[in-house]
Amino acid sequence: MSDIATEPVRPQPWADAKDIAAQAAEGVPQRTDPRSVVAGLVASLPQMLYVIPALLVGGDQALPYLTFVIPVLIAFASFGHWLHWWHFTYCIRAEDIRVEQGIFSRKSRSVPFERIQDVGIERKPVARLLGLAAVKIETGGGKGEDAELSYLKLPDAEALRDLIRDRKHGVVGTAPAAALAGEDLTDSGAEASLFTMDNRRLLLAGLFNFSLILIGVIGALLQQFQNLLPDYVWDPRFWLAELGGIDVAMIRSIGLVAQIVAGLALVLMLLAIGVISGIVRTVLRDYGFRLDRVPAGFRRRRGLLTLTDVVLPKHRVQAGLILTGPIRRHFGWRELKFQSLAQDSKAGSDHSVAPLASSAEIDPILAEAALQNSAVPAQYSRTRMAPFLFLWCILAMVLCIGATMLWLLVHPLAGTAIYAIAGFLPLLAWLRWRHHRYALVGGQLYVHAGWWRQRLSLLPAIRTQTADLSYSPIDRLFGTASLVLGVAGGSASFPLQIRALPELDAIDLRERIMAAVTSIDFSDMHAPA
Amino acid sequence: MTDATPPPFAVEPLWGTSDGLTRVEADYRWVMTIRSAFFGLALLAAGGIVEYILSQETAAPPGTVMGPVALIVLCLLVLLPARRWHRLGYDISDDRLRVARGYLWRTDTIVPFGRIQHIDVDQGLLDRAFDLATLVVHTAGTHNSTVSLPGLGEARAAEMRERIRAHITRETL
Repeated sequence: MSDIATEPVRPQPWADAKDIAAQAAEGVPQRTDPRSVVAGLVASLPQMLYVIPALLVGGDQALPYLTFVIPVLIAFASFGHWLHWWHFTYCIRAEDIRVEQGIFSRKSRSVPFERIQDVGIERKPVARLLGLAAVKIETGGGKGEDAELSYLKLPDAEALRDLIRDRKHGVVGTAPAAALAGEDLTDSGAEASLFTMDNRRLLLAGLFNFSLILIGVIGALLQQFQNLLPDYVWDPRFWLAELGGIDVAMIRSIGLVAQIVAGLALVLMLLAIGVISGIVRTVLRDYGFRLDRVPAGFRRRRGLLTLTDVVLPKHRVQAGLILTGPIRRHFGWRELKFQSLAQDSKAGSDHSVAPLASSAEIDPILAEAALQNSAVPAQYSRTRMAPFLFLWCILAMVLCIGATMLWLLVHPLAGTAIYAIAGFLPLLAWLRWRHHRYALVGGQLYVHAGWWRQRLSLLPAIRTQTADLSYSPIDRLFGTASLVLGVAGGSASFPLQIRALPELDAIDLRERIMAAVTSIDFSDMHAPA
Repeated sequence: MTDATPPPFAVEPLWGTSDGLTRVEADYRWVMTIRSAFFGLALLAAGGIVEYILSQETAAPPGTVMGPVALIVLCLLVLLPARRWHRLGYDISDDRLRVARGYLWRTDTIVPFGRIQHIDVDQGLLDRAFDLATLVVHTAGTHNSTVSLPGLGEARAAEMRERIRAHITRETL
C-alpha cells in the first residue's frame, strides 16, 4: 500500500503545452484548464442577478452602493471559483481515476476503471465559447453523482476520454473507437414478437386500471381556481336547481328512500367516472402495445398519441415484478414489469413489458430475461405474524376504549362505527402478513407482498447490491429483523424487503444471498453478455 | 472470513448476534460532541428567548424553560455521543464491508466489494482536526446508493479504500 492518500507529487502547472492526457496517464495530478474559472463564474452569474433586485428594494440610497457592491461580489465569486479550481486535481492511474477536491473539506474520490460505464463529453454554451469541454464519467451508481472534470480544452477532453476508454478495456495502445460504441440497440435484424395486446385486451386492462385519480385531479384543479370561480359553484343547491330543476326543500320532502336512491346514483356515477378514466388512461398509454425480442434484449412500442419506442437491454434487467390484485388474479391476469438499471434518465424505473397477460404469456418473457417463476407454494415461507399486528392491535384497543366511552356517555349507536374500524385495522394487518411470503430457490429470491396490490418480486441473488438487517423497536420486542435489499432501479423509498423474519433466519438468509454475490464475479454487470 | 487486520480491541456483542464489529476511533466521540454542541447552543438560545418572553408576560419562576432545555442539551453532549459511538461498528473482510449503526432503529448493512461502484474518502473540517475521515462507498442500488462509515483514522480509511479498490481490480482480471 505505497500509493495511498497523500501523494508527494505536486500538481503540474496548467500552462504546460504538453499532452495533458499523456501526463495525466503518468499519474501526475492535473488541474483543469484555468479558463474553467471564467466558465464557472459566467455560469454562476445568473444566480448573482438575484441579489440586484434585493439591493434595489433598498431604495434610492442603495443605488450608489451598487456600483461598489457588484464588482466586490464578482471579485469574491471569482476568488471562490479560483480557489475551487486550484484545489481540484485529477489523475489517471493504472487502475482508477483519482479526483481530489475541496478547500477546507477535502474529498478524494477513486473511480476504478472496471466501474466506468461511459465517458462522455458535454459542451455547454459558455464552455463552447471558450473552446472547453467537460469530461463526464458515469459509473451507473444509484445517484447521479459520479465524476466530472470541468473544463478541459476540447482536444484534451477527447484525448482523455479515449485514454479512459482504453484503460477501461485494458488497452495500452489505441483502440478502434467503434468497438467501444456499444451494440446497435435498435438493430431490427432478428426481431421476434414476444407479446402484443389487441384492442379487446386493451379495454380489459383499462377496466382493471379503475381509478378515481381523475376526480382527485379535477378537485385539485378546482381548488386552484377557487378564487376565479363565482361563489355559487360551491353551493350544491345551485347545481341541483340548474341541472335537475330540483329544490332542496323538495329533497327534504321526498323522504328517506329517495335520498338513498340519490346517494346510490352518485356512487354509480363515481364508479362510471373511475372506469372511464381508467380505460382512457390505459388506451392512451398502451394502445398498440408490442414487445419484441431484439438482439440486445427487448423492444417495446406503445402509445396512442405519444408513441414510445424503448429498447431495454437484457443485461440491464435487474429483477422481475409480477403484479396483480384479488380480482385480476381470479381471472388469471397479471402484469409483468422489469426493474431495470437506469439508462437515459438517472432515475431508475420499472418498465411494464406485459400490462395484462396470462401466466402462459408471461413465462416466455421471463425466460428471455433469464428469470424464473418456478417456486412452488410449498417452498415459500411466511414470517412472524406478531410484528405485523402489534401496532395495529394497540391502536384498535385504544379505539375500542374510546368507543366504549362514547357508548356509555353519549349514545349506544355512536360507538358502533368505531368498533367496526377497530376490528378492521388488525384484519388488514393480518391480510398483509398472510400475503407476505418469500423463498430462495435456484439462486433467485421470491418475495410476495400485499393482498390488494399483490406484488411478486423475482430477484436473482447475484443482482443484490447491498443487504441490510434492520431492527425497529418492535422487532427487538419479538426478536425479529427485516432484510432490506438494495437493488439497482426501482423505488428508493420502498425497497425490496422481507419483514419480521426471526433474527437467525434473517442472518442466515442474508448469508446465503451474500454467498451467491461474492462467489460470482459480477462486477461487470452492465456489460453485454 | 479471514480478516488480515485483527480488530484493535475486543468488542462485546451489542444484542442479538451483532458481534464481530470493530469500533471506530474513540476521537469520533469528540467530533459528535462538538457537532451536537452547535445544535445545543442553538437550542439554548431559543430556550433563553422563550424564557425571557415568558418572564415578561407571566410570573413563571426562572428556569421553567431553561431547566428542561439545559437537561436535554446535557444529554445531547454527554450521554448521546458515547452511546452512538458504542453502537457504531464495522467489519471489513476479504470480500465485503459491514457497517452497523443505531440503537432503537438499528441498521446492519453489508456491501459486497463486488458491488461497489466508487469510493470516497471525505474529511470535514472537524475530521481534519482529529485526523479522522469518512469512508463512503457508492453502489448501483437505489436503496443504499451510498453507505458511509464515519470516524475512521485517516490512514485506516485510505488503507480500506486501497483494499476495496484492489479487490475490484483483481476480481475482473
